[in-house]
Amino acid sequence: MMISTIKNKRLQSIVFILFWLLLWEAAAKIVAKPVILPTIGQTLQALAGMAQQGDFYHRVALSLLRVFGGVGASIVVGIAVGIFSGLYDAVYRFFHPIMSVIKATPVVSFIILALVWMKTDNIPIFVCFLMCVPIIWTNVMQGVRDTDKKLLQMCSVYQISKFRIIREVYLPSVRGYIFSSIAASIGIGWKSTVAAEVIARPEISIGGGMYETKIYLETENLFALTLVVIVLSFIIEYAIKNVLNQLSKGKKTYVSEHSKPEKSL
Amino acid sequence: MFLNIQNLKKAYEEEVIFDGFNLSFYEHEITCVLGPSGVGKSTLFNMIANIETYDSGTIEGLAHKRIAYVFQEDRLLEWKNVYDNIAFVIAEEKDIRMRVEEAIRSVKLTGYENYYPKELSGGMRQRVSLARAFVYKPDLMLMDEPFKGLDIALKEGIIDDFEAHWQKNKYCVIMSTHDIEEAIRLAQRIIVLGKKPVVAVADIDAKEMDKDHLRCHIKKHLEE
Repeated sequence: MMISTIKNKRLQSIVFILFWLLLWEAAAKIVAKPVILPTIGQTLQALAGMAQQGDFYHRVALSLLRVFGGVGASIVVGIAVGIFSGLYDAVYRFFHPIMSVIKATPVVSFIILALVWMKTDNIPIFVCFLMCVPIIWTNVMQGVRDTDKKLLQMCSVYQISKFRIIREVYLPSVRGYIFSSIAASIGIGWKSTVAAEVIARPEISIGGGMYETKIYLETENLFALTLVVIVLSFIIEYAIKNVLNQLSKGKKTYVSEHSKPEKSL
Repeated sequence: MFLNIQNLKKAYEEEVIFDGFNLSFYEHEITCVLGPSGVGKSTLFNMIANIETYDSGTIEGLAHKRIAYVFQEDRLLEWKNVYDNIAFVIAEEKDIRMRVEEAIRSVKLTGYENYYPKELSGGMRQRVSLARAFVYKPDLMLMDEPFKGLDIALKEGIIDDFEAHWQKNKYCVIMSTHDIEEAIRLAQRIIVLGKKPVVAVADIDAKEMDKDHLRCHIKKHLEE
């Protein structure tokens, strides 16, 4: 019964995806101008053409590295600052204004500012970091605040050191929050990195390639590159969720029912 | 005298729980505290354990003393197994394994060292909490209705474990309970608390009375 329900749902999802693809194909056929809306076939053809050029893989690899760099830095800073913001109200109040400003600022403002401040190669990493760090920070801080007060009282009675409380009580309590916020950050990291690449145009990048498609009106190449970004984003998110799930099983992670990620951007 | 509470005052906004409360506890003695539900027994224990503040008064005698607390709920770390939950409270680096294994043996949980709390029954979890208190080598053990909600057979088993451990170590125990029989079985001294603001309406030397007389005496004070 349950298996057939799952199968039905999968079938339904496939049908819905096919519907959207058909709609795209039909719209492209009606418009009949690849420069406005290429067909699926033209997009895949463009992708195949790009895949035969050596610099395509170089572009993808460098863009991926930038995403990992930005998200990685935001994980380290977000966890460290998030824990202390959850523990000490003064630290929270110190970081709250800057995190709120970062959350509310349009990504393009940071990109343009960064153009003034730094080398173009570093801008996507910096922007990706800025977009992801408030997500990690908010979730980790919330996780620390939601840590069971009764456990903390127990630690206080048994005179457990602050360092051990952080390592053995807070960190396992917030692990679920950290995992969810990392998964949520990947998609946002990709989007902001590519946006920064389009504007800052580091020499070799997916975003730089997208910018070129605008100059030469190669819409099918733009679609192909966007497809690459979407597929890679899905693959990374899926892989990270799997890795985190494995880690959770191995470490007997305590996932609180409150540990749902808060997204920004 | 081991612990001396003098002129203690504690209020939650408008509600005065303790006002000028005095009580002393003695070394090598199990004192049972009886009283109506919600009278403030847990608040008193929390203030002694220094996890809850009080408005005025003094609690003397606890400087440099090791306090273990068996809470009403087990308060185990869900991500640590039985062994690690017990070892968690040991700060010294020596003899950890020996101490933990002895504590596990004393609550009859040998073989469950690698189990996680969610894999244990309520009674077993409470035994882990008791073993955690044992391994801490306390000078004072606070026990807030530690056997509440356990079935009779299980309760008897845990009380036996506790009694055997206390006989060996003879630390000061302050235990709250609703169960008169539990108090009569374990305590050398029984305190009955009255309604708010809390006062000790009876301070009974349980060693000096026969059980029937003691039972009547406690019931009379609880009904006051």
